[in-house]
Amino acid sequence: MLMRISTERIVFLAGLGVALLFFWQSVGLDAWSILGPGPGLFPRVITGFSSVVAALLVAFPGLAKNTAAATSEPEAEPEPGPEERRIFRIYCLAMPFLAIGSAYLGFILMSLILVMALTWFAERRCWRRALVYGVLCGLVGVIGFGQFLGASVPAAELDRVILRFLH
Amino acid sequence: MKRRDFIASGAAFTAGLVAQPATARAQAWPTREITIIVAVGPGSSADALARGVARIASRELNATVQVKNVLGGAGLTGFAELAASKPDGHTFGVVNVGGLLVFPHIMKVPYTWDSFSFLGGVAEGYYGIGIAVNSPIKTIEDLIAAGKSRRVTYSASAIMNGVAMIQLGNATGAKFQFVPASTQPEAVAQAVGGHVDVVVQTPPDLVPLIEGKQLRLLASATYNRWPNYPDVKTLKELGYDAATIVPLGFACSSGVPPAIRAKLEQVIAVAAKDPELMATMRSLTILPRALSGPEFRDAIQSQASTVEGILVAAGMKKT
Amino acid sequence: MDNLLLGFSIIATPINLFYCFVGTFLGTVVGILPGVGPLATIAILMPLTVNLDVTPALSMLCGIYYGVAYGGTATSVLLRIPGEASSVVTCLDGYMMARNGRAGSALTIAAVGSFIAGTIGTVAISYLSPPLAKLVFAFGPAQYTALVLAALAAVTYFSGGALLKALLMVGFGLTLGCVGADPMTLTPRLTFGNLDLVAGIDLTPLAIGLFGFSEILAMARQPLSKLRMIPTPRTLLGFLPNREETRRSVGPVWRGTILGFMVGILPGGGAMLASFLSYALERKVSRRPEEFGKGAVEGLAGPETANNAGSSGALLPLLCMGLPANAVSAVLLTAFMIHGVAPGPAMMERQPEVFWGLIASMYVGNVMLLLMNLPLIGLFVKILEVPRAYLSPLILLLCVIGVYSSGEDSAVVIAILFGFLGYFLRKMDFDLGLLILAYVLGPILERSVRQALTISGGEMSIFFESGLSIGLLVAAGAFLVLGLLPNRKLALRDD
Repeated sequence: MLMRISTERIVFLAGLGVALLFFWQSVGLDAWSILGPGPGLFPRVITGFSSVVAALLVAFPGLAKNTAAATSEPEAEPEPGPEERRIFRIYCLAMPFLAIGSAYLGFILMSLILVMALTWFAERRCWRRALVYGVLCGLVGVIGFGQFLGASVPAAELDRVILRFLH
Repeated sequence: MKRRDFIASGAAFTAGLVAQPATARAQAWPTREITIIVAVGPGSSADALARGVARIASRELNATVQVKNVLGGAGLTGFAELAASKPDGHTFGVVNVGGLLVFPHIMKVPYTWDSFSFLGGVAEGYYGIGIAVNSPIKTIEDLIAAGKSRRVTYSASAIMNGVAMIQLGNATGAKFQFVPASTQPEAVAQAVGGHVDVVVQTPPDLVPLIEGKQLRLLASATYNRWPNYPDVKTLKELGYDAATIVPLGFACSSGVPPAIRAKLEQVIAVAAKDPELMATMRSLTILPRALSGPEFRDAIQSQASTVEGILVAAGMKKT
Repeated sequence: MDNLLLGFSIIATPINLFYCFVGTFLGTVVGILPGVGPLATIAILMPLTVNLDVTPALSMLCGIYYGVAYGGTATSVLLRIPGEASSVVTCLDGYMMARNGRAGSALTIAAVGSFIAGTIGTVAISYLSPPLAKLVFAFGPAQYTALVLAALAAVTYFSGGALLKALLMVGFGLTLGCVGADPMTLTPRLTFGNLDLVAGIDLTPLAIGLFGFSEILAMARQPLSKLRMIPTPRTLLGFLPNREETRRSVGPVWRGTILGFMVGILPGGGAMLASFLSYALERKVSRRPEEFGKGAVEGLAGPETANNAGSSGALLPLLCMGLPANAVSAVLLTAFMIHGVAPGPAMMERQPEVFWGLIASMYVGNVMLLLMNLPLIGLFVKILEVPRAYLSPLILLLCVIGVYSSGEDSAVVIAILFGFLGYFLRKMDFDLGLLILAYVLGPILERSVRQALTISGGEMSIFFESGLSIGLLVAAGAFLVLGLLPNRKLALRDD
C-alpha cells in the first residue's frame, strides 16, 4: 500500500512539473492588449490552475482515492512474465520507429520493417508469412489509401517508383 | 447524361483528386502533379476559387492539378510552405493580404515579398456592413452618431474585413471596437443576436440572413455596390472614403524559371476569364477581377500602409 | 405534411435515389477509413457536381456528411481508433463491449441508435426549425463561456473518479488546447520555441495517440492467454443484441437523441460535446455506474446516438439560417451557394422543392445507411479474430495513415508521445476522455471569454447580464460544489 501511494505521488509530482513548465512558458505572454484580454491571460490562468491542482495532489495523495467506485478498483494486473516483457519492449521501440519511418523510409519500407519486427521477431510467427503480410500492408497503404483515396501517406523513393509503375 | 457526369465524378474521386493522367510526357514541365496550396480550409471562397482554377489549369496544362489545404498558424503555415516550395513550377498557391501584410508585422515569418512571384489576380471580395433588423440603428449616420457617444462593437472573422470600419472611425471620430470571431457564421450570429452592433463580412456569409429578414445590409464596404442588393449604397457614395479591398490571386516561389512562370501566369489569365469560373464566382458573389502578375502585386502593396496603421492602432504590431 | 410528400415525390426518381445512395455509401466509407475525412471528400466532389441538378448534388453531399457518423463507430469499437472526434467516447465502452465478445451487438445498437437519432433529427428539422434556430442567436460570447464551463463541470462531476484527478485532466486538456499560435493575435504560445508546435496540436494525433497507440502498448503487455477475446456468437443472427442489451439501450437512445440534437444546434462543440454529455448523463442515471468503462451498454448506446443527433442538429442552423455550425457544414454551405441555393427561410419559400427534396433524401438516406450497415457488421467483427501478431501492426499502420494526413511527420511524433502518455495515464486511472473534451472546448472557452471582455471593455458584469448565462454559471458552480461533497448517492446505489 505504502508503495502504491508513493508511485502515485511521483506521478503527481511529474504532473506538477509539467504544469509549472507550461506556466513558465505562459508568463512571458501579454495578459492584456489594446484589443482586450491578450494572448497570455487564458494560458496563465489554466496553467496556474493545473499547477495548484497538481500541488494539492502531491500534498494530499489521499484526495485521489476514489470514494465512489471503491468496488471498481482495477483487478491487480498479473506481473508480466519475461516473454511479455520482451514483447512489450519491442512494441515500445516500434513506436518511435514509426516516427522515423514515416519521415525517412516511406510507407512500404516502414510497413515491411514494422511487420517483421512485430509479427516475426516479437511474436515469433513464420517469417515468410510476415514478409508477405508486410509487403501487402505497404502496397495497400500506398496504392489503396494514397492513390485511390487521396489520403496523404508517407512516401519515399521506393513508394514513388511503385506508383510510377501503375501509370 | 447524368450517368456520365457521375462516372466522371466517381472516377475523379477514385483517382484521388481532380486528376487527369498526364498524357503528354514529352514536355519538360510539368513532370508530376501540380499542387495549389491554399492556406484556408475547404469551403471558403478562396478554396472554391482554387479548385476552379485547378480544373482549368489541369485542362490547360494537361496535367494533374490538386488543391492542398495547408491549415494551421491561422494561415501562416500555408504561406511558409509556399515560400519554401521547390521552385520547379509544380507548386503555386493562393496569396492574400493577410499573409503578406498582416503576419510580417505580428511575428517572425519565414518569407518576404521577394520569396514570391506574383502570377495574377482573379477576383476581389465584396464586403458589407450588416446589422440586426431590430437594431435602433438604421443608417450609417446613426451608426456614426452612436460611435461618438459609446463604443460601437463590430464582429468580423478577419482583422482585414474591418479596414472600412477603421477608416470610417478615423474619418469621423466615432469609436468602433473590433471583436474578433473565429469563423464567419460566428461573426454573423453575434450581430443577429445583438451581442455586437454590426458585422463586416462577405456576401456568402450575410445573404442568407438578409434574405431571412434577420439582418439588414447597412452599406457596401467595397467600392462597388453588391450585385444582389443594388439599392444599398457604398460607403464612398455615402460620403466616406472607406473600403475593404481584398484582392484574391496566385503566386509561386520566386525561384521558378521565367519560362514556366510565364506559362503559369497565362493559365491564371485564362482562368480569370473562364466562363465556368466566372459563373462560380457569381454564385459565390465574388467580384471577378482579372489582374496580371505585377498588377496583382501592386493591388496588394497599395494596402500596405493602411493595414500597418490598423495593426499599430490595434496594438498588434510587434516587429 | 404536403411539403414532405412533395419532397418524397422529388427524391423518388432512380437518379436521385442513386445519388443519395452514393453519398451515404461514401460517407460510411470515409467514416471507417482513417486519413480520409468528410471535409476533404466533400470539397473534392463539390466542383464535380456543378453540372448535376441541385437536388441530387446536394443530397449526395449531405449524405456524405451524415453517413460519416455511422462509419466512424466501427474502428472505435473494434480497434479503439477513433475514426472521428465524435466517436472518441465510443472507444471507452464500445471497445470494452467488443473485448467482452459483444462487438456485433455494440455495432448493431450503434447503427440502430444512429438511425433513430438521424430520423428523429430530420423530423425535428422538418417541423421545429424556426423556433429552434432562434437558440443560435441567443448564444453570444458570455453565454458560450457559461455553457462551456457548465459542460466541463458537468462532465467532470459525472466522471465518477476523484475530483482532483479529473480536474487535473481538465487543466491539462485546456493547456494542450492553447499550444500553438494564438488564434487572435497569432502570438506563438506554450511552444517552447518549437516551430512545429506553432501550428498547434491537432485533435487527430492526440486522440489516436491517447487511444489507438496506448491500447497497442497495453495489449502488448498482456499475456496472450489473457488477451483472447470472448468470441462473438457464430450463429447467423449472432450479431444482434440480446434482450437485456436491447432493454438497456432504449433509455440512452432517446435521451441521447434529444440531448444530442439540442447540443448539435449550437456552433462549436457539436457532435463531440453531445457524445460526451450523453456519456456523462448515462453514467449519472445508470443503476450500475460501476460498469462504465468496462463495457456498459448505456455508455455506447447514448453517445453513439447523441453524435448522430448532433450532426443532424448541426444541419438545422445551416438549412434554416445559412449558418454552418462546424467546418463540414461550412463546406456544404459553399456547395449550396455554387448550386444557386441560399439556405435560410428564403430557401423554404422560393425553392421548396430543393429544401423538401433534401429533407426527404435525409429520411431515405438514413434508411439506406441502416440497411447498408447491418450486413457489414458480420464482416467487421471478423477482424477481432485476427491474432495480435497480425492485428497490431495493421492497427499501427492505420493509425499512422490517419495521423499523417493531419500534419505529416510532426503529427506522427506527437501521436507517439501521446501514445506513451496515454498508456501511463490509463495505468494510473486518469480519465482520458476528459482530457480530450477539455482540449476541444478550451479554445471555445478562451475565445468566448476574450470576446465577451472585448465587448464589455473589461467589465466582468457581462457574464451576469442574461438569464441564460446566469443559469448556466449557477449550474457549473453547483456541479463543482457537488463534486467536492462525498459522493454518497453513488455509494448507496451499489447495494
